Amino acid sequence: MVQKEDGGLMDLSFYLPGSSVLHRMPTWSKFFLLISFSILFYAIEDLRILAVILAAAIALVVYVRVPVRRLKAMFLLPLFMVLLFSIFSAFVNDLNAGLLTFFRLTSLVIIAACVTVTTRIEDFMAFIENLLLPLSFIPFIKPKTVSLTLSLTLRFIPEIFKLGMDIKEAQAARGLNSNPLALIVPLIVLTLKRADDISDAIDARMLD
Amino acid sequence: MTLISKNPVLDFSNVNLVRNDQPVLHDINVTASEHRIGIIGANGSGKSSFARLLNGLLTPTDGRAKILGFDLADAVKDVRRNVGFVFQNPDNQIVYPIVSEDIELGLKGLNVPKDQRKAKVEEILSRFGLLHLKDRSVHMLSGGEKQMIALSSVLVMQPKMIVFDEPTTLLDLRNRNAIASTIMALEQYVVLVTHDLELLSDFDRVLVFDEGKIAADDTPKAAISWYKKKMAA
Repeated sequence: MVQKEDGGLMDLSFYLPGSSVLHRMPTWSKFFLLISFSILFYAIEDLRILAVILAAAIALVVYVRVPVRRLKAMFLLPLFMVLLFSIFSAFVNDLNAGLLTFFRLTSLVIIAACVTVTTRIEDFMAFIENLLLPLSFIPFIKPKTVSLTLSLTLRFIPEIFKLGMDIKEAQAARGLNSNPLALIVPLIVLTLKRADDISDAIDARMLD
Repeated sequence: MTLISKNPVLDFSNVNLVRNDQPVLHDINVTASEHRIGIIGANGSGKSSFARLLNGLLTPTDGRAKILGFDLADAVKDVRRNVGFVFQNPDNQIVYPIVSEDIELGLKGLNVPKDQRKAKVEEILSRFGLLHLKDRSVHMLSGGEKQMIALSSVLVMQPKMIVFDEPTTLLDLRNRNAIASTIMALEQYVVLVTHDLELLSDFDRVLVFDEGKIAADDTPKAAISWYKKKMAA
């Protein structure tokens, strides 16, 4: 978690420990179901069935016990995007098409979030590695490197966010709070330095 | 516990190191077999570069460097397998967002089976009373907890030697003391780079770096006294 300027918390640690069926399912089966649902939902044209599916998706959130404080962070932005798509669809087509888009995408966002919070990063990375394994004959595709890169991205987004906040605070103390360069230049320099240090750490831990 | 090896754990002979076209270490000659070796020196004196040679993160530009009997010229992997490295900032060292997953990562690299990995992670966390952090997000940990997790991720790989590069610099006094007592209790050979001179009082030997050279090599008391005089001059 990273302390935000407004005192709120930016949480990018998705996994929630638990023992639900979803927690215990193999990662590949969760992703297989997610893809199957994506196809199935687009085959359904009946709003009443899609409403039942949405209700079931919401019940799934309750079942995997996602804490209320996490709901806002997890769903606010994706649901805002869904709403935009739905309004666009309603304008381009008709109200029914807008509602269909809303029910389908909202259900998928909720189910995808449930898969995310019940899957450990390590299992997700192993799944990605296995998925890419058949492509490893292509010279620039190295499954281990791809999964490590993904995990580093998840790990360091909050760190870079915090770094940005620290720089912003330091520049504000110098009266430079309205100068974007005063934030961007040190952020780039420090992020590159950080990348260099992380690269050393990866070498030292024999992960290269 | 004082552990003194019959064979040298460090054996450097005429080692020079150049980084970015700048000479960093000049003609380093040192043989050591002590359990705990401290390294001190002013900023830019070459001590961190020396520490990086010990794990094979850097290799000598010329000269011969042997660590635990492995020559850096042809056995870097063996050196890395046997020498762990704890960095000043644990945030740079912890790769995965969840504590247990990060500690497990090194074991995965060593091809340890999954069930054994889980057991080893729990064992190392229990050893330091950190088992309650197992499923915690790394971002939620304090500086001291992060440094202990970074150390756990190194120890779980069972290295023979651990190199610490200023591990207490970012810590408060309580966490600094916790790390200090953990280091003193380690069975492994320890090489500690630090500005915290008090930390070295019970070490077996201290090397003082100055302008890329070993300027003093003595007991902690004598070496620290020499260094203090040098810094006061």
